[in-house]
Parts: sequence; C-alpha cells; structure tokens
Amino acid sequence: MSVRQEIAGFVSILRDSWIVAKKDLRVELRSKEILLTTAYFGFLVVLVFSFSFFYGDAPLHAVAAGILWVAVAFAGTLGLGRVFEREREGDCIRALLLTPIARPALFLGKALGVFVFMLVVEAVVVPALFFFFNLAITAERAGMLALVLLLGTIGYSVIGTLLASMLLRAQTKDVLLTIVLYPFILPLLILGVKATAALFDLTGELGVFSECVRLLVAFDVVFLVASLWTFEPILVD
Amino acid sequence: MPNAKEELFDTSRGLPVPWTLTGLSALVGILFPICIALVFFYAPLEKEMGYVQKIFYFHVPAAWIMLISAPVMAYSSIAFLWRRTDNWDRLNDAAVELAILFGVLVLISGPLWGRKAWGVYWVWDVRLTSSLVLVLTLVACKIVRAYAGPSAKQISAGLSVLAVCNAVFVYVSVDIWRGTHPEKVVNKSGGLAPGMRLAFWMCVLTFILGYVVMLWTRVRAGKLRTALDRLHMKAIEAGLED
Repeated sequence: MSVRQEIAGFVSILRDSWIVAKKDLRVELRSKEILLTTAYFGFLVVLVFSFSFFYGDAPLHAVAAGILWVAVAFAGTLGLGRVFEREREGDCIRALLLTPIARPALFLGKALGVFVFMLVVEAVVVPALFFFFNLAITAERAGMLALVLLLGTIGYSVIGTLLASMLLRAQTKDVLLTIVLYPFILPLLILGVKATAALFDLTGELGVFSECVRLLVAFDVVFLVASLWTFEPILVD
Repeated sequence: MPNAKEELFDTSRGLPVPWTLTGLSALVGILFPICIALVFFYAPLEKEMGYVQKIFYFHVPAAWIMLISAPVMAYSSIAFLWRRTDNWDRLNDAAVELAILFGVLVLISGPLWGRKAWGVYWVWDVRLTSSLVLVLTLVACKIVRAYAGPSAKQISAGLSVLAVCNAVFVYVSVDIWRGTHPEKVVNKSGGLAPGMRLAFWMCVLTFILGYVVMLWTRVRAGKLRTALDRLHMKAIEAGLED
C-alpha cells in the first residue's frame, strides 16, 4: 500500500467514526436522557463529598482534587453503561456491525461519543466543585486544568468504551462494568489527582504537573493503540 | 465454546500424563519440605526481624513468579490472537490464574512483613501498589472471560495484555505520586547471610519448578475440559442427555 492510500484509509476511518459519534450525539441531544441524568448525578456526587469532608465549617481544600476525579469517574460509569444500550434495546447491534465501516472506526466513534458526553459532565462538575469548595484559580492554571481533564477523559473514554463493548452480552453488565473498569483506570486517577492537586495548590510549583501530563499522554497513546487492536475481534456475532 | 476444528486427543484412551510432568511434580514434592526445613532450621535467625523475616523466603519468590507470569500472559495472548489455536488460550488462562494466585500470596505476606518492619500493614509502596492493581485487573480479566460470550477468548487475551501495560503505568505513576520512597533503599536481597542465601535460592528454584508444574497441569485441565464439553455435545446429539 502506498503512503497516499494509507492516509486515505486513515481519513476515511476518522470520517466514519465521526458519523457514528454524530448519530449517538444527535439521539442524545434529542432525548437528553443520559446527559441530564449523568450531569446531575456528577453534581450530586460533588455535593455528597463536600458534606462528607467537612472540617470545621467548610469542606477540606486538600480533598478537592480527589473529589473532582471521583465525581467524573462515577458519572462516567453511568454513561458508559449506556454506550451500546440503544442498539441493544432496539435490537440493532447486528445492523450496526453490518454497516460498511471498519471496526476501528466504529470503536473510535463510540469512544468519541463518550468523550464529548463526559466533557459536558465535567462542565457541570468543575464549576460545582469550585463553588462548594470555595476554590480559586488563575487563568493560566485553569487552562492547565482543562488540559489534564482532557487527557484523562480521552483515556477514560477509550478504556471505558472498550470494556463496555467487551461486556456487551453480559446479563449484569452494569455491575460488571464498574468492577472491571476501576482497576484499569487507576493510573489515570492517580496521575489526574496528582496533577490537579498541584494546580489547586496556588503556592506550589508545577514540576509534578508536567511529569503527570507527560505520563497521561503516554497512557492515552498506549491504550488507544492497544484498544484499537483489541477491539477488532471483540464484536463477532 | 469447544472449537470443533481443533485436534485434541483420543478421548477413549484419555490424556496420558507425560513422564516429565510426573518427574517434575515428584521433584517439587521432594524440594518443598527441604525448603521449609532450610528456612526454619538452617537459615540463621535475623537480628531485628526475628521469625517474621522467614516470610521473605516465600514473599520474594512469589513476587518473582507473579512477574514471570506477566510475560507468559503477554506472549501467549499475542500468540493466540495471531494463531487462534486454543492451546495458547489455555496457556494464557493458566498464566492469568497463577498470577492471581501468587499475587494474592504476595499481598498477604507483604503486609505481614510491613507490620514488623515499618509498623503498618499497608504502605503505598510502588511494588505493593502495582501488585495490587495487577491482581485487580487480572481478576477483571477472569470476570470478563466468564461473561463475555462467544468471543471471550479473544477478549481476555486482549485484556491480559492491557493488564500488563496497566501495571507498568501504575508502577511509574505511584513512583511520582509518592515522591520519596524509603522502602526502595532497603534492598532486600542485598546483604543476605550465606545460610540465608542457600535457603532463599532453594525457595526460588522450588517456586519456579512448582509454577511450571501448575501451569502445565492447568493447560492439561483446560484440554480435558474441552474434551468433556465435546463429549457432552455428542451425548446431547445422540439423545443420551438433555
């Protein structure tokens, strides 16, 4: 295969995955079923944790970074449980598999849908966190926070989508997904929390932050490649 | 799911036990009591740790076996995804199970050591934490294998590779997370007394041989399982069972 064909194949995979993601997002935008419930759930998690970590008359600053990531991870699980649920309820998983697009494109499309969806949830969770924990942040650090969240969310949605599609046929999928997912995203949580904590500590230096970001990028790349490779044989019907 | 294409063995005659496996098992059976005798009666008592130090002779070999299992898992799963022969899948399953078994041994004996050495059961040491996460992800592999349906083999093969990648990432990230880690300075196998050294290496040898025996037996058990499944199918087809 020539380089040009390789590029053309790559572009068509990206285009196809955008089509899959667009379909999911359009359905979601019309019903707003998962989006509203999950974002609301994320908000509630932040609230519950603020009550749980009261110290004196305000919640502890030190735990804010952890709570952010726990809220994102919990809310994300709700969304992940639904990745293939519409197709399953409508009994059209086979139809989805029969569409003339490459399997990697299908995977990327689903993961992209989860990714966008999680960003919306984060757009609710982060302000709630700043509000309840009375946090302050500089504009520069806010951008860095966005970067960490973005990288974490990429990894999360890739692994989550992969595991959700693996458990597609399981009866107790929702329970299984959570217990299978959390061990796999632990490195993401560790790195994300560490980087975020460094950002929230306005007096601290950011050496740890850049180290975490580099590792997050490596994690995302490794797991994206591994997932694309693993996804191929998963959905045999 | 029995793979109908695979050549198994003559089920009317059973699966013969090769003499190498018998010999190896017998060797492990002889070596293990010797190890225990060496550990408790030959190796000198450590000054500060006392009898608790004896954990070391089983903890470290178990941890090494868990580490040996990781490349076995990775190799067998890649070979399976490449070749699609069930024996690679059986080897992968066996390696995953044994890594969980030895990982649990590590996770039980590690805190017991930690209690005496550092005063707490659990320290967020890189090795302990990444062992824990590796065991958790491998348990996830087994769960997925049990529930994933017709493509369970491919899926668990893929997942076990991801689990190994994951453990590496946990190791590196805990390293950053902890900042300083005094535990690493304590090089456990560095200053061993001569008596301890013999007992330790005997344990390592026994554990490795034991691992090979268990791995082999588990692969054979998987083969027998497939044969049994097929006989079951035949019985159902013949109307003997329902």
